[in-house]
Amino acid sequence: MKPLAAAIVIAALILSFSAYRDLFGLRHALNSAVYPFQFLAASTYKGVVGLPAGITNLFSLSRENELLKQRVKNDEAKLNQLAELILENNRLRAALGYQAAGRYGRRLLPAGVLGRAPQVWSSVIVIDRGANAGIKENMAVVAAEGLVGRVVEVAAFSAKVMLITDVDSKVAAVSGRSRDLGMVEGFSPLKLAMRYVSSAGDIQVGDLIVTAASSSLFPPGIPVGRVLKAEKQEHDLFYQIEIEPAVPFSRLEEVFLVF
Amino acid sequence: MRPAIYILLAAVVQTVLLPRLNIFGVMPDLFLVTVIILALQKNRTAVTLSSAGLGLLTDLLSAGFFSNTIAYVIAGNIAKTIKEDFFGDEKSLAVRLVLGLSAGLVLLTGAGHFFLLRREWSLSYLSFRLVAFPLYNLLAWLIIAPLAQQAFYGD
Repeated sequence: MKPLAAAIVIAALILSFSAYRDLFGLRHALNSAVYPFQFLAASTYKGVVGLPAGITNLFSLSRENELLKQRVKNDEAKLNQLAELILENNRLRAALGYQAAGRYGRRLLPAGVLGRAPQVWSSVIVIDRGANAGIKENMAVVAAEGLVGRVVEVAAFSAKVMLITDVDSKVAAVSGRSRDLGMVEGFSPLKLAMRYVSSAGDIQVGDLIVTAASSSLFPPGIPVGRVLKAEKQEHDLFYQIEIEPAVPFSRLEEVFLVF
Repeated sequence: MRPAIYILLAAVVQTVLLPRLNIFGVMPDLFLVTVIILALQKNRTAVTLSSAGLGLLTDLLSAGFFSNTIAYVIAGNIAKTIKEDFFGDEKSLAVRLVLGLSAGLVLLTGAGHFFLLRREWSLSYLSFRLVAFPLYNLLAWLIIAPLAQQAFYGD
């Protein structure tokens, strides 16, 4: 029955490069069917793992509550100042003909991470928001620390997010310091590679890399990572750059979708 | 019904629990281990069809190419071919198949990414994966082999 195996392999190859990768809605239906079990398992896991911390926290909750109240009071004054600065910034930008800006200038929707897609070389996570929450393909996804990735597939109640560490991910990015432009690609689950940065530029270890304004998918200015290695040989056209991602993907439990 | 429950549980564990137990991004592949277990006892047609089915399931739960379908069908048929010519202790054969085919899967899919899709991977990470993935799968085999036996063969 080796011809059967060969036929299946060829069919899978053809399907992989065709427009029918969702198998006429079967992919979405399957993901929707599995979602309740994934949600239950993820909630149970988070509950079990969080239980010891929850018990020890009971004893320190009161003190922590007082400290947090004091911090909120202190931060309120700073927030008022910041609001004024944002308004002034927008007025000045409008006077110069620029559009108004805020942090990413967009609404953020929180989502929980259910799990990860079961493919050896892919870095795709599953989140607990889907079409019912207004999620669309190619939406940018961020975490508190920086850029996570983009939505690649949407089911009714869940969605798949390709992380920036995925080998198929590409993000236009710049150095925050020198503004040299390049393309950040997945290199391993722990590192990113930044390509096509001209060797005439100035990239140093420790530079913060952020999303570029030229990116059509991601708002500009989102932290991508920090430069770990930046090398160039004498006759090279481009730098060889490795970046440590800003987001700790191995511990990622909550993300935000950028509307 | 038992195979369906086993497959559903494996899918949930694979996507929800195991990613949280990963070591530098490496986690066991329960479905590859299941394909090898099935290859040791079922006939070739059943192995091919069940490998394709399990591969398709994992690909539909992922995004992108049907790489698992291709990899599992090839792995299942290789395991079956080796089993047909093998005389000896089945457990030691299973261990060797898990280790060998796991490493082979890493190389096959990595090569596919590099040659077909022109994607580059860190060589040091590939080397780490070539060692860690088979060992992690071996650990998974020790745990799930009795469960798979119970689910698919009822003993």
